[in-house]
Amino acid sequence: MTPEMWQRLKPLFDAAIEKPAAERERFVDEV
Amino acid sequence: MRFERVNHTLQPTALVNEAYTKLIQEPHVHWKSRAHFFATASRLMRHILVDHARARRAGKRGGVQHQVTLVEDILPAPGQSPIDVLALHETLERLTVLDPRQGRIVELHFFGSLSFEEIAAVLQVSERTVKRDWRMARAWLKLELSKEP
Repeated sequence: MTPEMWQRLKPLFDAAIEKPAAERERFVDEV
Repeated sequence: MRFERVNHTLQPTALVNEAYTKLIQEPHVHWKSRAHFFATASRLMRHILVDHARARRAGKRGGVQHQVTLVEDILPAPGQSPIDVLALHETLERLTVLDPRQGRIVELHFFGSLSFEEIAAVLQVSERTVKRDWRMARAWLKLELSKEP
């Protein structure tokens, strides 16, 4: 993990965590 | 502090007292702002805890000697083992390399007991940003600290 990768992950994490738990896995698979 | 101490003698009150004593013994420090003071106090709290943990580890070789049970939901749930404050410190160092702001937020919230609103004022960002960063930092810390050493 690098700081650059971390910054790219942040919006994806935020988007994933906002979704209902049941939808998160599919969301992550689709990213 | 956002934790309760269970395995050693440094109680939160004593920790605050030690930190306060150290702060007032630094007459040359000119507090530039409230943020500067809180950031320094939080760092000091962390260092005192880590120093105590290291001293205990040196005094009693082997095993986990310095553990805390976190009130904050950052880590173990009720009934789970408390964590090693040194492990938290070292993991937080790694987080700070990845994301300095997240590292500061954890330090201010966890070791300095600042609220999200206060942290937002200290870091001059929105409270929403602080909460978002905290959420991600907490998830990562929880994952890293759950790994076997």
